[in-house]
Amino acid sequence: MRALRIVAPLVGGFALASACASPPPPAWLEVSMLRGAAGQVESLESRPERLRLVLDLTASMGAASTAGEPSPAEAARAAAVRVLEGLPPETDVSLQVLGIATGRACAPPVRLSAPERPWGSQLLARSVAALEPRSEGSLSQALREVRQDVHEAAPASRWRVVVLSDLRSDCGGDPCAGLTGLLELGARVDVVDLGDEPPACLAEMELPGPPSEAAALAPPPPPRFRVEAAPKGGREAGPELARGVAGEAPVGLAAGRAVVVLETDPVFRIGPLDLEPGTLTTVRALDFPAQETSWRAWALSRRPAGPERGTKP
Amino acid sequence: MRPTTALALMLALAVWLAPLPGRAQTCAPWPGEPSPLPTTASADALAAQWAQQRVHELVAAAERLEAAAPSAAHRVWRHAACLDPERADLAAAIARTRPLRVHRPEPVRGRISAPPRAASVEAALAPIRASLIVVAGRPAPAPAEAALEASRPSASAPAPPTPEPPAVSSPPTPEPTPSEPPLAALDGRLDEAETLIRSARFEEALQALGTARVDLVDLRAENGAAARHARLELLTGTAEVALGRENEAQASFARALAVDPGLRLDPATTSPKVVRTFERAREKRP
Repeated sequence: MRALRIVAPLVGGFALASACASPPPPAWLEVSMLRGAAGQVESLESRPERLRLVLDLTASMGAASTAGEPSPAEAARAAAVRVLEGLPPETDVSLQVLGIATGRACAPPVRLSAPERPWGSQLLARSVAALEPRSEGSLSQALREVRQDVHEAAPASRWRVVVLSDLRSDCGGDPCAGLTGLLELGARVDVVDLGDEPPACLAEMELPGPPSEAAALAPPPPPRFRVEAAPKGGREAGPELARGVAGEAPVGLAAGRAVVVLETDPVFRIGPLDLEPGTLTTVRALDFPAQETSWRAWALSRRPAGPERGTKP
Repeated sequence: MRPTTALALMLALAVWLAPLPGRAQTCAPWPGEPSPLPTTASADALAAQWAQQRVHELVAAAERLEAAAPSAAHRVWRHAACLDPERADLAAAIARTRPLRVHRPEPVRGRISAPPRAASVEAALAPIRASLIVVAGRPAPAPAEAALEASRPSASAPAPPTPEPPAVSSPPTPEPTPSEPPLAALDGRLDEAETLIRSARFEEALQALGTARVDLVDLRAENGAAARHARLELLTGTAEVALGRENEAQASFARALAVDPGLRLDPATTSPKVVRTFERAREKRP
């Protein structure tokens, strides 16, 4: 008993000294968040389409026919006439015709517009029926001019472009680049390919990334969060222990029971969680704020915190 | 190992390691999305849940966009398919909204520079023509319409006796004047279209009506042209209703009403769906 009286203070003192010399390892907390769209895409007003026919009547389209068949140029012209004749009378339609201007080997495309509406397309059909191939022309240039018109007469999404051509580029330029330019603006394009071999680029022509009309689909940036000690004694919230930003480096804090509060709208409270000393706790949350019924979920994982966590989180 | 062999192997390895350009480009994450882009089949359950919910909101957005901005909708559909490659309906939506369609009329294969057959050009254009027919814009009386109106006698479109196509009940419609020679062919085409509609051959009816429309351009100054025009538009609208093209049908009925504002359909003898669409077109008139 006497020995105990001597040893006990020594043990207690040693424990106290040890505690002062090396504080218990802090807990580490990492928060990440996967989010859905920030808002909803608005319904756009449905408007009538504007139609542009690109008709290639250049020399390469006028190859001699076989067995009494018309040349591609003749077939394309007849097809264009049929399309124009069948359109509803008030359709906003115009043409870009290649190969009918005279005076130059590579003549610029000629634009034909409907003289009046309604019935403009039917009147245009008669003009087209009388067109004769006279020169070469650049399809690429024609498509660039169409793109310019589409660009100036928004919204591009209501443009429909129909190209009747062999897609050859005897007068220079890249028809695929011209088509891509139209797609980038949001126009819809039909190509009636009258050539021998389709350009390889046609098979792979897809635009990556979100369209401008769907800007609201972008998830909002990762939110800030704070960590509060788990409330006790009927209080709503405990004292704040740490702050951070979802997706960034872990934060160090005292071990214990805590609540993670993500500063979303409305706030997203996760916990209480047990933050253990020397442990990295990872909280991953899902948030779809724009859905009619806000949809949330979260998951938790723990692993021992490495030395690097103890030095600089 | 010889240096050339090593070089060849390195090149082969580089090619093998390079990501597939098409898929990598089209299935890259959009701004704000996790990278690499999860799918609904991801092993990470939370990421898979995110993909599932993300598809849900992308589909909703694409559906909103599709009518007015099909090209934009196409890109959203494609991205949704990256997240859930197993959904068959997404593939169908992608095909439906593809912004670039390439039509290849059948040439005489195997011959260099063989021109495509005229019939095959027509065949390639058929789907384009069918879709272009539905680009009808907002009807507005224009000079040509006014001319039709001015030349119109007090007759409205004749009343077919069966539910489809629609029966015009009011205002009282005197019998159409007997066809003068220039209008006889037009009447024949309209009769043909009506017969096709009664036989449920609606696409063919629309083609016949398209031809009749061309005839009408030449005849628009003729006495009785306006009544034919109204009938043409009613028949067109009826076929469009049958094909589920509500907006186009309303536009056709509105054109009929622009020619004859007093047109009424007899609900006792006309399909209720046609009557409803017609009345909606009337309500929208200024």
